[in-house]
This record gives sequence, structure tokens and C-alpha cells, in this order.
Amino acid sequence: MSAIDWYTARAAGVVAYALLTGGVLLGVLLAGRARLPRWPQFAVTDVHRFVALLTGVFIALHIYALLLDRYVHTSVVTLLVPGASTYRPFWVALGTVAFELLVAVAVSNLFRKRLGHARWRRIHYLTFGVWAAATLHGIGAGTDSHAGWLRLLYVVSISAVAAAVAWRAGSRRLSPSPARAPRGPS
Amino acid sequence: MPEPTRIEQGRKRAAAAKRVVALSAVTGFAVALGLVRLGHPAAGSSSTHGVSGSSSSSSTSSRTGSDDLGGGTIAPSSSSVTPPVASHTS
Repeated sequence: MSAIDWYTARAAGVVAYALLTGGVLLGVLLAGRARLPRWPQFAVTDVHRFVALLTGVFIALHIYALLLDRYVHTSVVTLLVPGASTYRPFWVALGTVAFELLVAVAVSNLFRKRLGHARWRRIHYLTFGVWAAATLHGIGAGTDSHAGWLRLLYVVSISAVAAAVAWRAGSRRLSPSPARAPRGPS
Repeated sequence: MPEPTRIEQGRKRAAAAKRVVALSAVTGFAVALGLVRLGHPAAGSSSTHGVSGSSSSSSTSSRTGSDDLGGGTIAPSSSSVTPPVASHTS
């Protein structure tokens, strides 16, 4: 056993976080119906889904590498039960919660038609919780959080998501939803 | 027909973007792997990670990053050495 499993876990976690941020940003763009020149809505949706899928792949690699690691002593139980880990329990618990919420969002995507758009969308908002928990998990549980390159990643990610949410909130206020808009004569 | 062309262009753009995202993720992973390894020189140099129980404490301290106090030395007490502040006889 070499230290490569620990490095793999950290690196995969960092890439998964960057991809999750990208997925959230694309999701906000889609929800806000942003008009991107030469980018039809279906193309942005396609990339958004791909980014989400790739996030799942790197989260799987992150978890698999942690299971192989002999120091943190991660087991299936500590992965599924928040607070069960002896290594930085609170911060690891946030990672567990983020993972479980993400699974819930992924499952809701499979049953999108059955759930209905409104319910699916409400569940999809959990992704913000996933992202927030993942941010805190990375900062608190990660051993490289003091490194300049990782601080930069967190600052850029938090700023980008905050800006996207502010833009979304602003655009929502400016343009009322079609359901609430007063109907004109037909 | 302009409509199919636009759809086709959108598909091509999405496919290109997905390739860029996948390539960036793999490259980012390789870069992050290197940066994470560089961040922990002590853990990186130990080839016995996880083999012996005695090495676990040193590796754990290297993971916390700020716990590494460096290789300090304890100097023996040398009463014969005159401190420079005492040389003011002239």
C-alpha cells in the first residue's frame, strides 16, 4: 500500500468539487433561461448532464480511494452514516450528507416524468445544499485547504456561484414567471 | 433549411464542449495529484505508507500540514561561551 490512494482521494475530491461547481453554474444558467449566443438550450442541457455525470465519476473515485486508504479507516458505514468517521467527524459528515443528497437528486432525475416538473425542480434545488456541504467538507476535512492553489479554487467557486445566484434572483425579479403573469386577451 | 443546421451546430458545440470538459477534468486530476503530493513532502517520501503502525503518527501529522515543526535541535548549555553583550570593557 502506498500513499497514492490518499493523493488520489484528495485529487479526485478536488476535481469533483470543480465539476460540481461547473454543474451548478450551468444549472443556474439553464434555470434563468440565459440567452447564450450560438448555444441553444438543449446543447447547454446536454453539457450540464455530462458535467453532472463526470462529477459522479470523480466522486466515486474519491470514495473508492478513501476506502483503500489505511489511515482514515473509511468503511462503508462511515461513508453512509454522518458522524461515524473518527477522522474530523463533523467535516466528513458534511461530505456524507452532500453525497447522499446528490444521490437523491440523481434518483429524482430518473423519475423526473413521474414526479412532475414542479416537484422535480424543488428536489433539484437540493444541489445548492450539496454544493454548500461539499464546499465546507473540502475546506474542513481536506488537508490541503491551506494551500494557495486550493484556496484560489474555493474563492473562485464561491464567488462564481454567488454571482450566478444573484443574477438568477435579479432576473427572476425583473421578469415574472409565466404562470403568474397576467394573461392578455387571446 | 436553417432550423436543422442550427440544431446540428448546437450538437457539435455540445460534443466539443463535452470533450473539453472531459479533457480538462483528466488534466485537472493529474495536476491536482501532483499538487497534493507536493503539499505533503514527508508523506510523499515515505514508501511505507500504511504498512507499519509505528509510522502512522508521523504520517498523520504530515497530513495536517501545520503540525510539522521542522527538524529542530537542542543545543547543550555552554556556560564557557561569553555572550557578545558582555564585551563592553573598552
